[in-house]
Amino acid sequence: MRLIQLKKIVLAIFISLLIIYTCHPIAQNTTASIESHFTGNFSERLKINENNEELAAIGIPYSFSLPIGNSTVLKYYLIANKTYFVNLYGVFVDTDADYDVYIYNSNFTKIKAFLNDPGEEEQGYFKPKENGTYYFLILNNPKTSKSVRAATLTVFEYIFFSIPEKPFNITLKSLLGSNKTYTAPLYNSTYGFLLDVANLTDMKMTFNAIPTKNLAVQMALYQFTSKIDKLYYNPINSENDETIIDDDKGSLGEKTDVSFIVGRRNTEKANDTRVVLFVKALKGSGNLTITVKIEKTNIQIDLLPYTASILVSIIILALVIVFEEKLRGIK
Amino acid sequence: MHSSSTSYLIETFGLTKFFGEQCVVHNLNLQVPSGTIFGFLGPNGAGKSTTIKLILDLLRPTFGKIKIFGLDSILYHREIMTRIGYQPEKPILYENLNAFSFLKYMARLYGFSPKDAYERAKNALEFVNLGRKAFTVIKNLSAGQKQRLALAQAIINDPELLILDEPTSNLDPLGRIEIMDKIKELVKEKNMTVFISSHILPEIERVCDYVAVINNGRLVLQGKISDLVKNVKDTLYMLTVSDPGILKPELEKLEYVKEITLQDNTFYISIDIDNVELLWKDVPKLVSSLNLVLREFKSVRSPLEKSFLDALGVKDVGGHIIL
Amino acid sequence: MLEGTSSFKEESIALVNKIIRRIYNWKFLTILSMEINTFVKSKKFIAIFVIFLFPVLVMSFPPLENASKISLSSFLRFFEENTSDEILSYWAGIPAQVIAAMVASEMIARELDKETIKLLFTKPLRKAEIVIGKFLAFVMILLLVLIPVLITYSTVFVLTYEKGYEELLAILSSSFWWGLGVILLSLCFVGSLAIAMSTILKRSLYAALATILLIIAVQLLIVTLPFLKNADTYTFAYQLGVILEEVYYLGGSNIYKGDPYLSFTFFMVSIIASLIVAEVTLVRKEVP
Repeated sequence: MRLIQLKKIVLAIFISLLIIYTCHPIAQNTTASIESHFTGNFSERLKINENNEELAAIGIPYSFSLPIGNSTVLKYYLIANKTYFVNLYGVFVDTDADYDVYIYNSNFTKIKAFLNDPGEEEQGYFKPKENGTYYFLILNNPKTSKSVRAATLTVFEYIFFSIPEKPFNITLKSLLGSNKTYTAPLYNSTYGFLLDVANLTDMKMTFNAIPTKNLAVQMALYQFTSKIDKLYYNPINSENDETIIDDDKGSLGEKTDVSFIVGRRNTEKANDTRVVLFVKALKGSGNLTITVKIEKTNIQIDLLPYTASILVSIIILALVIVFEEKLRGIK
Repeated sequence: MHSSSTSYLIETFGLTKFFGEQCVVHNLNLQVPSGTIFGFLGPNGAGKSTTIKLILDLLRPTFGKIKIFGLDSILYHREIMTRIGYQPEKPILYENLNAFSFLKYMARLYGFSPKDAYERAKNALEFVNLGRKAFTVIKNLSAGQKQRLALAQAIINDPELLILDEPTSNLDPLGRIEIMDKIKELVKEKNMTVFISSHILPEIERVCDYVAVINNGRLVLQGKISDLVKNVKDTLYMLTVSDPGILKPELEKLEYVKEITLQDNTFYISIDIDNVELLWKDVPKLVSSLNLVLREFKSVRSPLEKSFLDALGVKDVGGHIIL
Repeated sequence: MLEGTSSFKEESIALVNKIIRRIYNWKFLTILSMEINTFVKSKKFIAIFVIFLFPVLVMSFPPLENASKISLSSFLRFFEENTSDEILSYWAGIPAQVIAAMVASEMIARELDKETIKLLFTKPLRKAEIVIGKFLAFVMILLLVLIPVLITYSTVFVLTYEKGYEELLAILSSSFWWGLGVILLSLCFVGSLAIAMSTILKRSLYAALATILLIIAVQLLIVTLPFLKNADTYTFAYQLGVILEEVYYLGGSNIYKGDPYLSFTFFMVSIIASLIVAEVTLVRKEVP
């Protein structure tokens, strides 16, 4: 073989390698590939139109299993200055799969990213500055992920209750600012709140839902768990669910209420400092007003029988010890 | 609490114990004076050990009451036990410990500080001549050594009342004498009251001032030894000669002789205690006049033994008393 | 003035001496130390140590696929999930309960059998001091075995997954103590029952067997009772799980449904009740 031919072959190989390298996903910049999802056939993928039915619901889990390097997008309508809690969980946790979450506003500008290590759940807060549609992109990270696993994304509205300075019987006005009540349209029939009640131990919270007259709703309180699909896909089925705290169904225009005692240990349900409140439209459509009442409960008494029984048995032992000799003398 | 106001250290009032339907101790009224060595005698199975266990509250009486140092033995058990030392009838020891550790443990159980316990253990071991065996594991000690260790354990707290249940049963004759002498020493030095239960009469006679005899659960005799022997009238002598056949009729002629038994070529002669001198004069005279050889001539029955047998209602036919 | 201060000093020294003398009167401490000394010097101690160390030697953890990037809290949860098996089925479960029954029952039964109880009964001791001294000795023996074993287990666990000091410290500051507490609760429950049995039955073997049979038989019986709903929640293992789940992550939320305070109270009251039974039996005991 002559030298020139050898050079040609080497050049050809080099160029083909270059082409392969530039076109292969692993070689490409991750951000660039993400951007291409938007500028590319993004709108076709989601079939965006003005019909809000394509919007993802707050509080509902969405599950998917993505090949490495692939992504999916969920579209949410979010209200300005509300805090939302983003929860990505699933089988991929504690494995070598790596999912990341990116949030884009309606202009496709990246606002926030959740980029934990492989095998770690993504959990975080997001507070939009404006009302509008937001795009949540979930990516099976091509650079760091090594397998294909299932994952579930849920976005809750997050409310943190702080300790009131004065006692009790508080309405949402003092907690959330100017609104005396909370009003929201229900999308896709279910709305989920993640309520953080860490500062309210030993208190009873009652949520009252008042729908407009053409709407029938159901409310359910669950203990928060990352495995949201467990809560939702077997939802509001009070008998067998191990995390349900309370639920109530109403007819059209009828008020419903659920309550929860923070920090209470009872026989059937565990407590947590975070609970999920699902509100579901059963029939019709309309608006919903939710009020919250917080009262102090006397649950310290619950521990009293336990400590009392232990104390009583210790006292009996002490008595037996002290009157040992008299006990021996009894015929 | 001193018991100088009561003259009796141990008092039982109608003490009765039933095991099921069997009455093992019946209506016992024992009185052990303070500052004495008190012997508690009786044949095997008479109820001696049971009585001791009742006194120590190891058993509960079916009826009756016991007072020790003037205190109820059940209600003031711990207070009483502080002032008592007890040696059980067979040595009860922690076999896996060495002698010294065992005694220290016992001393600590009386509430002595570690330092005091150390001193007491050392002194107790020396008292019973086990100093050289201090660090020998108890299971490797001989039976006699274990018995002595058990005694050491009983005296470790310098008790006011020492209760010994058959303290010499496992000892050789020399050991027995040694122990009894030690007990006498204890009483003199420390003004201890000692309550000894035994079936070996000569030993009791040697050391004790007071004695009580129990038979079939009942108290048959109780009192000062010197008082008891005063009432004994008879005594028994044994005589061995070369040709007993010749001597017998001559002996029978002696007026003061109450009874003569010939057993295995040995005469057992029962006489009044006042006539002992006469017997000592006449027997050698008779033997020499008949040209016989005198092999053995001695008293076989001490006055206490005699009174013991009388109390038990047992006929004295010579020979040793085996209880 | 000088005299006043020196007499105060003398008084305080006298008071301290008085307190020390009072402590010498706590003879259960003497019994406790004697019992521990005897046990530790025996071969049984080493045997029990090895038996408790068994799970570490066998290393029965399921594999964790990629441990290097796991966060501290996830690792802690992984540790708790795996250790809970060892705790509930071994260290606080039947194998260790059998050993606990054997060790505890021997303490008093041996004294009754060899009649050395007479030595204790004829000393100025409360019977309670004997029972409590021996029970506390049992607890201390458990601690002497469990603490090194659990620390070794935690260290080996951490090293197996190539984690480091930070993870070990995290385990030793939380999961370790709770796990130790649950194990102790279970074994003290069995031990106190065994001690009570041994005051009734003279031979330590019978007492141990009786305790084990009682525990196993009662649990088997409970499960078969037709009118009891959720009968399997009444077994000891389940109740221990309820308590363990208070702190431990067991692979899900609320796997063991129940009130941990109630379970804890049950175990504590049973322990104290067994000690009362042992005490009363000894008080009423006759030693012929």
